[in-house]
Amino acid sequence: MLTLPDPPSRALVRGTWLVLSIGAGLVVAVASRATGVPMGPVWGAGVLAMLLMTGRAWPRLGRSAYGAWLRVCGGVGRRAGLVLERTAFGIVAVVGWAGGDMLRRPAPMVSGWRPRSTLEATAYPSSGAARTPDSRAGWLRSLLAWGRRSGHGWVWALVPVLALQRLIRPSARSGLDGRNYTLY
Amino acid sequence: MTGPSKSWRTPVRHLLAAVAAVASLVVVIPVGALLLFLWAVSAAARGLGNLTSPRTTPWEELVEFEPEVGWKPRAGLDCHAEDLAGDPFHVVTDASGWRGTTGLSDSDVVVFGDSFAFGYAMDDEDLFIRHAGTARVTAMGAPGYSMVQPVLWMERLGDRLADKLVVWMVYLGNDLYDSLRPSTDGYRSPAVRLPLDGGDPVILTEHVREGKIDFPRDRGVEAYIEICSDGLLSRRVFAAAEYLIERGREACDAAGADLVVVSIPELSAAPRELLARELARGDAAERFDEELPDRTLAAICQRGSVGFVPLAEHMRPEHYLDVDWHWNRAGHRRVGRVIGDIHAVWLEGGAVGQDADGSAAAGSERRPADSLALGSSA
Repeated sequence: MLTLPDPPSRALVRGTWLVLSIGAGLVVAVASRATGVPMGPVWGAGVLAMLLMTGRAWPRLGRSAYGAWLRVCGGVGRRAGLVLERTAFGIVAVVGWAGGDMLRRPAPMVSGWRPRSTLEATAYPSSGAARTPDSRAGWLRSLLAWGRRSGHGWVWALVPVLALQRLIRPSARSGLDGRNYTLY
Repeated sequence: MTGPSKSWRTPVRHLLAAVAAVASLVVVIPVGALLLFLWAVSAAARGLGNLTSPRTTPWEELVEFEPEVGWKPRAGLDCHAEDLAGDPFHVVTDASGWRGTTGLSDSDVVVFGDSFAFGYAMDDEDLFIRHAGTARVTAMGAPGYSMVQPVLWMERLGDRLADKLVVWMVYLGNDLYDSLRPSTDGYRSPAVRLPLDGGDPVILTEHVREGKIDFPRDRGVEAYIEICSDGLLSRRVFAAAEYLIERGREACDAAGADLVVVSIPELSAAPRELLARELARGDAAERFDEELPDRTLAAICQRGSVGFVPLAEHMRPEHYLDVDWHWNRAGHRRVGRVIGDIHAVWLEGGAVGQDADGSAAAGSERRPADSLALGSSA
């Protein structure tokens, strides 16, 4: 979601160049106004026009800017992912100070093992991607429903961290999707 | 998890989680602000990209089933289609469904072939058919065609090709292999069957019906490497190619047309990257000879007295798009010039694309006219 496809379509490169140009124009306009330079918006508009013309004259520049933006997003995303992961583990660790229910001592002569229902034979080829009924309702509702059902309402504390982690997930469409045509 | 925990630990956990959640805001708020900013820019780039692109028509509405050959572009199109990178391009087809507005009867040159001949990924205004000098060109190509469909079209059109130059574009990346396969990306397609007992090859069309089937996808770059490595697959695809070129020549002879085969090299960035990666593994690189297809096709064309022009002599990687693997604007201009030159040589009564000794014109970066002049009968 945060990262854009690589390689990109020409439309996406054009869109990125437009956004960066508008952003640069805004920065110049605001900086001019803040530093007391007269006609700040005019300077901003000038920078915007110049960048748009440059992008039109040298389309390769748009590709380079797109690549740079991807690197920025990738780098920030990776680091932010690490920070968020540690934060999530930190919350779980703090909650863990209260101890767990799984270590309860079983009754004498009674096994602590519980039978586990297995998957349907047809589900095995894609068992990794198997969805629980809850997950069809979306990850947030699924997580909260699980927390409510199991008495682990504390998972609410993880929601902001998990929501941000979903932002940095790689885009579903990355690169060229095979070499097939859709015909009729 | 069997049911809600009744443990005294639950409220303690909730309390600890609340404290940890509040403390984590110190990290979450700045990281979140940064990520939201980056996300907003990326989303705006997507939005503006879509906003500045014309609306595209899905491919299902641009192509229709055609008995025996499998499919063809619809007639009377004037819309934008999406290329493999997701970019739009302007498509116009004539009353028969072929690109360009000249029409078959008014054309000097008829180009058959796959998506390259169709002009995939290129606006109608910039198609190679517009850069062929004085030659009026109709492009009778469709995405996904192998070498089989052009032969079927040549045989179907028959006398309508009379007194025309027929240019048959063969994309080395997949046309050779696809000619042996009864399905293209799941669509039933006509194919050549080479009998194991050494009997005569045949074109199979009985299985071609509407709709998709579950058929293994082609082996892409792996097959290309095998074809360039003089193995069993290589011998089979060239046996099929020889049979098809012979049938194409017979169809053109019967109609009073002249046939020239033009090979299209695999030079675009994405397949080259895959090829380099594949060759780096194992020992495939030792047997890989990328000039083998052009050499073999040249020999086949020479045996069949058919003109042959390898576009590898005229094209460079910069003539191809960055993401989609078809030609870009410069590539279309270059191909148009080559076709114009072939037409000029043909008008002068020259034999197209072969050296005086009959071998295909070879070498790199020669101007089209130089290469073609070699074919003039002296």
